[in-house]
Order: sequence, then C-alpha cells, then structure tokens
Amino acid sequence: MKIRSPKIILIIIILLLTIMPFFWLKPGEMDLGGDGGRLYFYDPVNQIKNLALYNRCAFGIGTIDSPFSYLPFIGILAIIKTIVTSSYILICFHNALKLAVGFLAVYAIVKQFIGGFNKNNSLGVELASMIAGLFYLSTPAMTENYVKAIATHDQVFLNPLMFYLLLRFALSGKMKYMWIALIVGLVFSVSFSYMGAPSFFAFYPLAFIFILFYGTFIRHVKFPWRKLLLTFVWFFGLHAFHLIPEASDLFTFGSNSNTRMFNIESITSQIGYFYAILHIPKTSFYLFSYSLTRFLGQVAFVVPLIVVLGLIFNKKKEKTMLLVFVFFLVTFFFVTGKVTVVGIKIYEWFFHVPGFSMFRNFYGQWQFVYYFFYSLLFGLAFYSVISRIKSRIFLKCLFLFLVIFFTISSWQFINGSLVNPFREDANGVKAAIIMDPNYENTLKFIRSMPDDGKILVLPFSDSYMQVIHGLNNGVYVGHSTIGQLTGKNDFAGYQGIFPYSDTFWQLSKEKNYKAIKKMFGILNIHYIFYNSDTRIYDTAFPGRPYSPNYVRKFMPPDQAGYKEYIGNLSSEKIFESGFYSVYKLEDKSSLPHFYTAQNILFYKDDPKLTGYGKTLAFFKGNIPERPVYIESQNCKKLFKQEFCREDSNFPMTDSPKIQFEKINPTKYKLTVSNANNPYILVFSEAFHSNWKIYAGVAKEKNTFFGKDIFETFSLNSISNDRHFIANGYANGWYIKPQDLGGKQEYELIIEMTGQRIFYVSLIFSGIIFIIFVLRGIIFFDIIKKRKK
Amino acid sequence: MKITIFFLRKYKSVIMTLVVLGIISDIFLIRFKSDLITFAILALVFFSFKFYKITSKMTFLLGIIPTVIIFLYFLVDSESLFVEKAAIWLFLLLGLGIIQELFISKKNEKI
Repeated sequence: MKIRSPKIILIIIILLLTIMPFFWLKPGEMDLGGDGGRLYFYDPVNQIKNLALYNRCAFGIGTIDSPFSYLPFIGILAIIKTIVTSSYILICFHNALKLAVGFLAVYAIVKQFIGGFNKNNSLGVELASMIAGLFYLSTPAMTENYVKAIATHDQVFLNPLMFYLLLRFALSGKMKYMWIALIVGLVFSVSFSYMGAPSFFAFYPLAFIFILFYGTFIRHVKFPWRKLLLTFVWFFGLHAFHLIPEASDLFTFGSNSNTRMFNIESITSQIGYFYAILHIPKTSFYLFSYSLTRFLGQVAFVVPLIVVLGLIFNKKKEKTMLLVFVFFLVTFFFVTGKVTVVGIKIYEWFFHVPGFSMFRNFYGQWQFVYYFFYSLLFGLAFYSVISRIKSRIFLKCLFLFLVIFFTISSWQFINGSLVNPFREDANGVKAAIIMDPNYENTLKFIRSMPDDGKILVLPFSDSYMQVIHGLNNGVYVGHSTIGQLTGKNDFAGYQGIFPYSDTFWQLSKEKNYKAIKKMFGILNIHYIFYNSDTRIYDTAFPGRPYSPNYVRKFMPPDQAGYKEYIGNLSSEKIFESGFYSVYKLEDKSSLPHFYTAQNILFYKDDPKLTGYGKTLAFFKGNIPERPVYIESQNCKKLFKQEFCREDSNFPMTDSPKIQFEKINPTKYKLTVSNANNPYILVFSEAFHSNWKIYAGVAKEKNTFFGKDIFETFSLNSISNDRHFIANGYANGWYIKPQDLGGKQEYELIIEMTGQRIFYVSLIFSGIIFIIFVLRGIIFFDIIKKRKK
Repeated sequence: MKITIFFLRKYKSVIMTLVVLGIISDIFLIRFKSDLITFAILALVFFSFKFYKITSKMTFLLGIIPTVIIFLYFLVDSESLFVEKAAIWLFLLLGLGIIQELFISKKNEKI
C-alpha cells in the first residue's frame, strides 16, 4: 500500500466508521433492551409523553423520578424519526456518530498536541494521530458496551469531542468552540444530568485541569477565565430544566438521591460494595491492549511497549507527553482501585467525600476516562518512537501493522457479532428485535383503556424486566415497555412490585388467589397483560430473567401453569392479538386510584424485613374491604396513642363519596361529596412529601402544559402532618371537615409539586435557549462578515 | 561515611543488580502483596538512582522488565499474582520516571 496522502486515509477511515454500523443490524432490527432501556429509538413520541415530561416514574408504584434530561435527545429523535421513519436507521446513525466522532476527536487532539511542539514531519503527525484514534476505538470501553448501551454511553464520543472543543477554546479564546460544546451538551443532556453524574465527574474535572495545565505551563497562553465563566452561566441556564428539579430532589430529605449522597449508612454499604468488586479489575488487563481475538494475545504487548519506548525516546523531555502520562497514571489508579494496599486505603477514604459513592462501580465508570488518556498517551508515544525512524518505508509498515492489529483484534466488534450477539442468558436468540405487529396492536389497545388501573405483566420476572420475542430470532429483554409506551403503570417483576414483592410471591406459591386479588386492589392493579409465547418462558429463557431458583420457585413454572394461574384471577379477557392478551380483574376486588378507607388497620414495622418484604409485616389473614394499613408510629402522629393498638381494626363508617379525574400523571382533580366526618383518603401512588392536596377547583384539563399549570400557587395545602405512608407505600391523608371550612361538598386538587419546579425551570431554560440561539446567529454572522 | 560512599561508588553495578533483583524477587518470590517490601525496594530504587545520578531514561528502561514479565505470564495465566505484581511495578517505575523528568524539566527551566 502506498500512502499518497494521509488525508485520503483519514477520509477512508471516517467513511468506513460511518458505514460500518449499518451492517451490524439487518434492516428493521432494533437493539432496544438493557438496564437503561432504549425504547426512545422505537417510539420517541410516547417516550416523551410517558417518560420524559413528568416528575414520576412510569413503572410500578410510580416513584418520583426526574428524567427530564432525556427531553432534548428524545425530542430530536422524534423529529428525525418523522423524516426517516425507521428506528433501525436511527440506531445505526447513533452508533456511527459514536464511532466517527470519537475517532475524529481523538485524532484532532493528538494532532493538536504534537503540532504544539513539532511543525515538521507532517506524515508522522498524521499517522500518530490516526493510530491514537484507532486505538481508542479498539479499547474495551468502546467495543464492549454497544449492545444494550445505556444513555450515558454517549461519553465514548462526547468525552473526546468536549475535550477537543475546550482545548481549542483554551488555546484560541474563541467562543465559537464553547457555543458548539453547549449545543452538543444540550442535545446529550443525559450525560450532564444526575444520571450521568459518575461519567461527568470522572471525566470533566480531570479534563479541565489537564487543559488548564497544558495551556498555562506548556503553551503559555492566558486562560480565558471570563469567557469560561460566561460559558458556565450559559450551561446552567440551558440545563436548568433538568438540573433544578434534580437538585431539588437531591436536597429533599429521604429521596433516593439524597440518601445515596449523604447517608452515612449508605456510604458504609458503598464501601462494602467497593471491596466486594475490588477483585474484578486486573491491573495487567488495563495496561495491555485489549484484544477480542484470542490468538492476538501476544501482540497486546505492543501497546505498553510503545508507551515505554516512547518515554525512553522522549529525549527533549517533551512536557505534553509527561503531562498526559501523569493523567494516565492518575486514571490508572482510579480504574484499577488497587495500586498497593495504601492505594486501596486512600481509595476507601475517597468514599467519605460526599458524592464519591457514585463511583462505587469504579472500574466501569473510570474506564472511559482511562482509555481516553491512554489513547492520547499512545498517540504521543507512537510519535516519539516514529520520529526516531528515518526510513519512511519502515514507518509506513509499522503504521500498517498497528492498523491491521487493531482491526483484527476488534474484528468481532467490526463485524457486528459483539453488537448483536446471541444472548448469553438464553438459548439461540439475539439481542436485536423486529417488533411483532401484534404487540404493537396490544400497546395501541392499552393506550385506549381507561386512565384508572395499573397492569400486571405476566410471565413475571426476577427484576423489572419484560421479555418480548420479535418476528426474527431477536428478543427484547429490558425495562418493562408498557408503562413507557402507554402511560399505564405496570408491574413486570419482583423489583417492580416493591414493597409487595415477597408478599406477592408467597401468595402465588400458596395459590391464595383471594388475597392476591386484595393485594392487586391495594396496588391499583386492574388489568393483567399476558404474553403466552412459549418461546420466552418455556424454551429460550431457562435462566434470567425467569430464574429457576428465584421467580420460578414461586410463580407458575411454565406457560400452561400461567394459563391456570390467570384463570383463577380473571375470566374476562378484553383483548387478544397473537400471543398477547389483556384481562380485566373483577370489579369487586379492585380499588380505584383514589379511595376513602373503610377499615383502618395498624401494624408495627419489622426492621428485620427487607424493603421488598416490608408488607409481610401486615398483609396477612383476612383483609377487610377498602383497607388502609398504617404503621403505628404514623398512627401516633395522626391519632390518639390509645387508638393505635397493633393488629387492631377500626371501621370508618360514613366515608364521603369521591370522584376523580386525571389531569396529567402529576395532577388530579377530586370531587368530594357527603363529607360529614373526618376520613382517610388513599392515593395509590408511591409516597412522596411533594404530593400535596389543595382545596380548590381545577381549571386545567388533560394537559401537560397550559395557562393553569400554576393554579395551585395561591392555594393552601392540607397540613403535611396529616400526610402519611398508607399500605406500606402509598399516600394517605387524614382529612378533617375543618380543613375545608366545614364544607360537605367540595373539590380538591392533588398535585406533585416537584412538577411545578420543572415547569418553572423549563420556561427559564426555554428563554435562555432562545437568547442563546439568537446570540449564536449574531455571533456567527459577525464572523462571516469579518471574513468578507 | 567516606568509605561507605566510596564503596557505593565502586560497586555501582552490584547495587544496580540488587535493585533489579529486588524488583524481580518481589514479583516472583514473595507470594503475597506487601506494601512494606514494595515501597522499601522502591525507596532503594529512588535513592540509588539519585545517588548514581541515573536519568529517567534508565527508569523507563527498567520498566521494560515488568512489561516483559506481564507479557509472558499474561499468556500463560492472566490471573496469576506475578502478573498483577508486575503491573504494579510497571506503574510505580513509570511514575518514578515521570517524577524524575518533571524535576529535570523544572531544573532546566530555572537554568
């Protein structure tokens, strides 16, 4: 091969990287599964409606969540999908973006670095920069996480891209680089959200310090602090729509994020987790170049050897390389976690720093940063070595050898077998699915069902996963789809049905269908979705997510057993299409989303029970009609002490009649009549102190965003003292007639106030975005005029 | 004192051999991870390099030893303790080399 121009090689590499992902999947196939779920590629519009717009989870009991950072990315996907119509193209394009931009950015950074100290040997500069980019693409962080990639996997191209833009900004002081970085950052907001915090804090502080040192001590440029400050202001303005709700959640006592960040017990458990997984990362593994091809194991030696030789040949003591090397060593320490016993102790100490517990899965979170700096180091070391080589033929041969090595060692990744593999946990099925139209019809039907009532997904899984077999031999195994795509909360597995998980399994094992129906009532489950496909439960998945030692021990062992199980719970099949059917549960056992309690039952919490088994403390024996279970500590706050004897039942007669209407998933309207006495109102949605009741007439109707979204601002809510956890998870309010001025007929508004924070933040971000775009247009226009 | 310095200067090759043997024996002969031993040998490396005014280039060259050990054992038994210890030594030696280089470049700047 004769290298006429390195630019041609560069263009060929970029073209290949862009085209490659389109061959990983067959047209129509989609890789949607995984822990994080990637259903936004399949149905972005419904994902926005049900997942990204509300301060509440679309799964299970509806815990409070702030998924707003998904909004820009899914919004753009929705727009692109109206043009290209194919989810397959969206997925391929997204993968191509990761590859091509990741490569190009690393290439550009290394070129920038070498260009900073060497203006000659342009061939060597080009080859070293390309080699660094290719090495970056061949690292495990890049090759191993494409299948079922979570949203923050975008860091594989965002990290180098943002680094490059910040570097150019630091060296030139030009705001255009930051303008591009801000726009890119806004589109991929998830990587800058609470969800993306581990990847963000692993990379950006180090990247910033590096660039600061590089600019100040090596390139001797004055760092544009003022402009950087302005960039931060823009950043917080543009990202306010998700950062403010997330911050509010973080500082709300008892929230998931608050507990994880500040709870000392939680920190102890994070340290325990750190030690439990410490044996997994191997220091040697991270030093050697990783090869997916076994017989190339010997050649993996080449990369660290080139690095060592590069350091030896670095006669001029080129500082850039030294600086990169320092950062390489720092990230090596973080990714391996066990550089000497002292190192381990220091690492443990870091966990006491608030927020560091986000790195408990340290090797997974630091690997992207580590391989980024390794790639830069490798590029510089390679240049250091080849700058000693006088023979151009030898230089080209060495380049070719490394290109071939990286290509062969990543061959499984290149040919797509790593991106769409046969599932390890299943028999002969792949990860990419062609969606069954029958399932799509079922989703359409579920969307048309009444608002009230949640859905139980059967077969039931170990966790929160749902399994759907495609028209091809691909299977979706991921976060339950029904809640995300229809807006009806669903319970797909053990973790999803928290805190009734153990109770449900126990009752199912005992075949106590009467109690199961009562439990469904308390959870507001009105429907059963059943997938009768024998491939998913009887043949393809003998293990996870239907493990024989877990879910199958309690739930029916096969599809025939499930048919019998469902027959005992419901006889009313209201929909069927292919393998998929929907059953309605009997009305008499169902409880609506809002109900007034007829029987109050008190219980004492058993601290020995885990969160998943908490309800075993009270859900037993005969369950009366319209019950509400109250923990005795809560009872003492609400009622007189003598009233709160454990295992006692107090009937509440003369409860008022209520009717309710859903305005949106975070706001409901309630009409109450005949409220002569105090009563307990139960709202079967996960307890959160931000759920508030206001006395007033709701004007807003079935909308996400209207002129009346702030109508409750001027209203007084019912005292927080009478808001308690009902039935082990739900919201309960003890309402007295004097709360409503002694009225017997009135209207109430129940609202999740966290959603209002989102509205305010969204309006703020929207205004900032408009100013930002206008500023950008003026800015780029001025540049054009200046050029003229 | 003078005799000691004289002795050390005369037997540079012996001391350097001891340093190399120290690293190799920590990797191969000691069947457990001990910071005390590792840091004692590292201190020996550091002070002997300082005493003999050995440059960072030599430190990096020394780094080739653990690299080769990792290479050889990685193929046979990647889970081996030798491999892990060699990797740690590579990290420490390269780190030491970098510190030396940084000191030199700082000195050069002052000059």
